[in-house]
Amino acid sequence: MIENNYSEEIFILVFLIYGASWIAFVSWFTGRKEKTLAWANRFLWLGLVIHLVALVWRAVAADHAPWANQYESATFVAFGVIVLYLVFQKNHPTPFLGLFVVPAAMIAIGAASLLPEEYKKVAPLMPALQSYWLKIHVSLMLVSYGAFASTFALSLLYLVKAGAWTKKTNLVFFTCAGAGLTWFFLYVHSRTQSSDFWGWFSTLCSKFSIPTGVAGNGLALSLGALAGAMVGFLAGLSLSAWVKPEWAQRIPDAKTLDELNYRSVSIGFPLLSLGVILGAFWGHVAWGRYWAWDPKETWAFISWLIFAGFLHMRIFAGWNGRRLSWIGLIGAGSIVFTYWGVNFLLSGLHAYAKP
Amino acid sequence: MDKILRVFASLKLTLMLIVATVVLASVGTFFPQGEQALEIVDTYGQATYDFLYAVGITDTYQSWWFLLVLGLVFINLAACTIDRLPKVVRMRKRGSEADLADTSIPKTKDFASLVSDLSPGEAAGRIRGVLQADFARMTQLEEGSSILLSAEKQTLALFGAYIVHAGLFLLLIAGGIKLLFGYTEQMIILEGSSEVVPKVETRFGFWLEPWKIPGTGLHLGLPKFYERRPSLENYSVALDTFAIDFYDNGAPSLFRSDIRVTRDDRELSKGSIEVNQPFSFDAKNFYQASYGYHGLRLAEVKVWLPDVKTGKSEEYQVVAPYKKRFKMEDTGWAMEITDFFPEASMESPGKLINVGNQMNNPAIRLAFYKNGELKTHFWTVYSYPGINGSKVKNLRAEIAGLDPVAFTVLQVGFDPGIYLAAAGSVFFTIGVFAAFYMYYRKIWVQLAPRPGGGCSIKVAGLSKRRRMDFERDFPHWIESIQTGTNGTKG
Repeated sequence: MIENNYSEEIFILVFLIYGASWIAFVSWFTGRKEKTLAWANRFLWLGLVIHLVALVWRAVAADHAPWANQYESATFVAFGVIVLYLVFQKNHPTPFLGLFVVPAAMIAIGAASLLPEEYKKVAPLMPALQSYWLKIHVSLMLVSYGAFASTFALSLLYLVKAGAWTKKTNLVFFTCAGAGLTWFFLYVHSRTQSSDFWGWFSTLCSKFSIPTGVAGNGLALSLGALAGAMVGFLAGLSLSAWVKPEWAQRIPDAKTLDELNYRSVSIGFPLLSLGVILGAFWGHVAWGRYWAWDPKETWAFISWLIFAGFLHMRIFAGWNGRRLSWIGLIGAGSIVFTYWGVNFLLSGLHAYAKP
Repeated sequence: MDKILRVFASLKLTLMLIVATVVLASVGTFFPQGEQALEIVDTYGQATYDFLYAVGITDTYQSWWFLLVLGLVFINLAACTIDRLPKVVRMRKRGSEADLADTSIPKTKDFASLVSDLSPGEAAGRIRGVLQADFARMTQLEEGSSILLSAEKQTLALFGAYIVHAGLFLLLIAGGIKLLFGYTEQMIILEGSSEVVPKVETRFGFWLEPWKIPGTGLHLGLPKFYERRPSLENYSVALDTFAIDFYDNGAPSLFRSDIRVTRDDRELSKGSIEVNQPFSFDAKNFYQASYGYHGLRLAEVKVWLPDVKTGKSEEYQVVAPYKKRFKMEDTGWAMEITDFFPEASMESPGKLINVGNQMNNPAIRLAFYKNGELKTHFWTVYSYPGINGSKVKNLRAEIAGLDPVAFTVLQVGFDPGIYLAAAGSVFFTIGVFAAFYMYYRKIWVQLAPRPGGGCSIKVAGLSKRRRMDFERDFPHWIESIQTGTNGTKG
């Protein structure tokens, strides 16, 4: 095990390269030059190669598969997001998706980097994770999460294209997202005594006589969330003002989006199914029960059910368009909660996030 | 009967059941379940707990309402299969050898009509040639001078969804068997001792169980058909040693229980249990669940005693047994370790309590005797060696080392439905991959002679799910057929 391995710095470099790719995507999307798209792809591939190197290096440094704690798994999800995007591109050239999927990968790496130090460090495997199932079950689950990043983007785009995603919806979404993310971020840091960030935040709070404790204080968290909501609101407002209707030309028609959306679920759903089933096998070996209704299991099952509903409604009830896109968004939200929320907000057998 | 089937096979019911399962399953993740639900009493009071217990939220996944929904899912799955599978089979059969009499062509969504100057037989040959790349084997049926060609690819994809449903069906049955006959019990075994293995028995029958109607003094006899009773196996598990290893950074790297299965002191089997490596005996699986410490074998204690002549403190290193008075040669003192806490904590100043069974902050209580008379009795805590409650001047003690007695917590699991569950998961996986990663397509080509010579060609296509691929492929086939037979759209 190599403790000072600079893998975190390499992931930040990857983040920056993906950022460059995203800027090129934006410039392609908003302008009309095809050349910028080529640059977006070049940066993306460069980022992916360094990302792979970083993962391999992390695996060497930690002496186990690079997805054994929250930080490692998040960087791996980012990898899955980009790989699945590129796989998807091979059969269905839809470069406009990069505009949404690349930031999803960046958010995963960014969120991982903002975790308290304890969640990030290279650590040896605890006995419960010493199994080859770690390699199989966890990687499958994380890759399936990556696939649903496209579902999220396609559902959202469909709603935009179909006119169901109004400026008001946009503002509500950004405000809620800002509040939720800030609250969550502060909450996670408040639970770690050694977190520099929480220390900084509680000092700031004490200047305004807002009490904070080690375990976090409801008032401080609410105020933080309020500030996040305001930032989110402004971001939504400026996005609404900035976006021009003619950009939508880069997005295919609603019917194609609908079909692509179905395709993205068709890729993610089998991976999720297999991940859950193999997790049950592992549960049988390690815990003596293949299904324990542990919060993580239950939420994986809930996400699975939502996408099963998506597929049934589309295939048999002929649903498409708006209703299906909303289900896609709910499903993607459920995946985020399964992956990230359960680890911090609910306890259970799958509490491996922390070292 | 048909009406009932239609209700249970309806997609509306499927949607409702999915929503209900999602909502009810999520409820259980936000409330602590089972034994952990008792925390609710501390946080929200007894009344809240009683209410949640009464409605079943503290045991969501075994509550009647959750099981009812799962039961309905089971019926829905069965009804859908009975309702739809025969239709799929019928659809597929059209044009195959099994359906010789019928050379008519099904009217599908993808349909095209062509005319050609070639005779039906000649055109059929050409069509087989041009479609060679996509459909290597085509079935040809002849009825009079009419010909029906048909071919399909990746048939498994067509049945993928049904295979998934069969898998889910088996999984639900396996879950039911587990609920009725399976169990997981815990056993705690101290190092060097043995415990009889617990089990849970299921008894079927019919009897009435009194149930008090709330708010009245009346009792009602509720029918019961089965009950589960805790019981014991006729064999025991003995723990020889419990081992724990650590990484360099102090994190545990291994938990291992070395055990023997015995009956009347006769060894039946022996083995080691690690996390991820259970031990099996008599169809029961034993898993490493937890561990802890209870009691001591020996303690190494550094003792400072006042010298008889000078009164100055003199250091001794003592290895002492637990709960056994121990004479310290030449000093006139005797010592006894009277108590041991693996995880000591200060409840109030001077009052030490044990808060756990991990060796997080061990403490021992020492009694010192001189001439058979108790002189002082105090705790010494491993992490705070400076703090001593000794009442004798220049007498103090520190813990130098401990040899505690470990206990292991094993989980005994029995699940007669496990093979069914494994079969279900295999079906499920194959079905999911067939349904999503395979691409079913079928084509029918009907050739009939035209009154003025040549033939009319009708082409029908069928695909499920992969519409976008099919909408690209089908026109391509039509084009190939058209060029291959010098045909024109008609």
